[in-house]
Amino acid sequence: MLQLSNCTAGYEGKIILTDISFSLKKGKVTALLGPNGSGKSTLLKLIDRIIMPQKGEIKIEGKNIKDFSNRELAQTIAYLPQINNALPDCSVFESILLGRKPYINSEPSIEDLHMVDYIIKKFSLENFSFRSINRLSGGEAQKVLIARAIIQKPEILLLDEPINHLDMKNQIEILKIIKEFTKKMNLSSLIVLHDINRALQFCDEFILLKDGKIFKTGDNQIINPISVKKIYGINNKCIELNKRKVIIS
Amino acid sequence: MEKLSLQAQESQLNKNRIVKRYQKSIFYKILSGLLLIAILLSVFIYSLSSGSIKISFIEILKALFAGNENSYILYNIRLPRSIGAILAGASLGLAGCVMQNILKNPLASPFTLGISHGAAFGAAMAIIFFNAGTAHSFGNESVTFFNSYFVAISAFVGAILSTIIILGLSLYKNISPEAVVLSGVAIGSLFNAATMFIQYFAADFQVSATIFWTFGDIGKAGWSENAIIAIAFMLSFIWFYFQRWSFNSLLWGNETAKSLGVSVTSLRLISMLLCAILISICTAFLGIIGFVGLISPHIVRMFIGTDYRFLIPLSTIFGSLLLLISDLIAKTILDPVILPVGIITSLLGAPLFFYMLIKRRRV
Repeated sequence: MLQLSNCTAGYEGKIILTDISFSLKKGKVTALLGPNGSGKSTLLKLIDRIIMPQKGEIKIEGKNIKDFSNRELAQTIAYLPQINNALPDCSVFESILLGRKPYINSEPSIEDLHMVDYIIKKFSLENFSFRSINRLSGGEAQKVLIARAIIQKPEILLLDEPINHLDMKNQIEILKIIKEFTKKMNLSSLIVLHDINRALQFCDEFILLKDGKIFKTGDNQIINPISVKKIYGINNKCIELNKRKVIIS
Repeated sequence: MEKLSLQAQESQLNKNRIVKRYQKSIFYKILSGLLLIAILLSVFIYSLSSGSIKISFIEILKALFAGNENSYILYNIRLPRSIGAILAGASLGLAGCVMQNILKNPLASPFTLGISHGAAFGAAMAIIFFNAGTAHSFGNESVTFFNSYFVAISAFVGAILSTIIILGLSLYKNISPEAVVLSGVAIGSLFNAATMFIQYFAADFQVSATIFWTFGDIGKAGWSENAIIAIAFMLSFIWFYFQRWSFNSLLWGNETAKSLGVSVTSLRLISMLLCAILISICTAFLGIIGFVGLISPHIVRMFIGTDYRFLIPLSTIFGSLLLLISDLIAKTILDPVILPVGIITSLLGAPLFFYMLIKRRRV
């Protein structure tokens, strides 16, 4: 289990996150929600030790992440940052195989290759296996990156806005995949999302972040007109549609 | 039931098909490497036989193993020259391939860090201030370096100085790879200005000697120079090859690389340092040889893709091949005049680079 206790962190002396404490449950998808600039991406980087906490500690199964070797950490946490730049000219197979890097000593074993093969089929990517990832559509490319994170066989999966710029069909498909693998592999998944209704549809737990501080954590009960108004500053209503909670503004 | 079983069989076939296709692509990449080695060996043998005196393959073997009238030419002139071309080409190809990765810049080459300008400044200092070289006009023997080792050491110091400034900046301010490239341009410009400044006050023959030094020339390589380049190359190659998966990770950006277990800052710094030392040694001994380091990784990438497991060794072999062929052209195109190889690499490299830009394949 991942546990953050009173963590304060930032860049070059500027504090972005203050006194962050929460834990992630196994087998659950947790949505990290909050307005732009609230520190969501920084929080993922903090968990994956890309930045270090100035105060507080982060533990996985009771062990401080400072004590993990780079390889151990890569075998424990898979982190998928936002796609900001052009992707490299690698084939889908090569891109996914890279997820086995934390386990490869010299060259990939036949098991590694079969794992790639399995995940390619599971993600319905077999028709593009040897196509360059930057010649795929946004949804397909995102699926490849998630496949790589899954094949890393982590305990914790951190995804930064994985459904950004995707159409509705791809958004749903990607979140279904994440949910399925979170259950199947008993992962603790933390996903940064902007669409609160998608989060309500697919996520089990929620963390609301505002101005670098935790506003609330819990199940979907914490998503209500009052908390949404406080977090995003917009008037909204909560309705029930097909037995599902929906926020409308 | 039957349908399900058929689907499972198809799935199994499909599974094998994808893995087999991947294994086949790996096989072709290894085959490309072996083919390049075979071509390199053939060109190497041809380079030993060509020159003002033509020596047949049989005569080469006799001269090398039994000894004959050609042994002197081979052991003292042609072998060190051809081996020098192979080693320097390999070093430049290797350094170019690594630098394009760590500096996230397809135009990064061994000279991006301003190393060549630093080396030229060091050589100019040795020639002009310490009278280590002068120029005469006696046919081909127009330039004499009284103390070529002193010039080389001075050039090496100049090259390393520019590297230290850039590495210092990287460490002190933790600057981005893009900023490193810009710093390299600035440092190069600074050293260029300093070289021109001291040349302005030098005598004509010293200026000639300085300019002559900058021409990349494989003919400057002797056995001892080759041995030093070989040691630097082997050590760097081993380290870089061990980092091949880290370089593959770095293609996806710092954060992805870190999340895959790569220690990005130390990988970048050590790689930059090794590249700088390797290029500094080559430039100090042989002068400035452009385009090999820039173009070799690009050409190899066009055929085998971006996988650093293959890109590192194949760029190295291709760099050797490119420099050896260039040297062969330099030796033979205006026979008996031997041109500096730097002129040929730039002549070949520029149109080749334009061609690749027009084709727009993985450049």
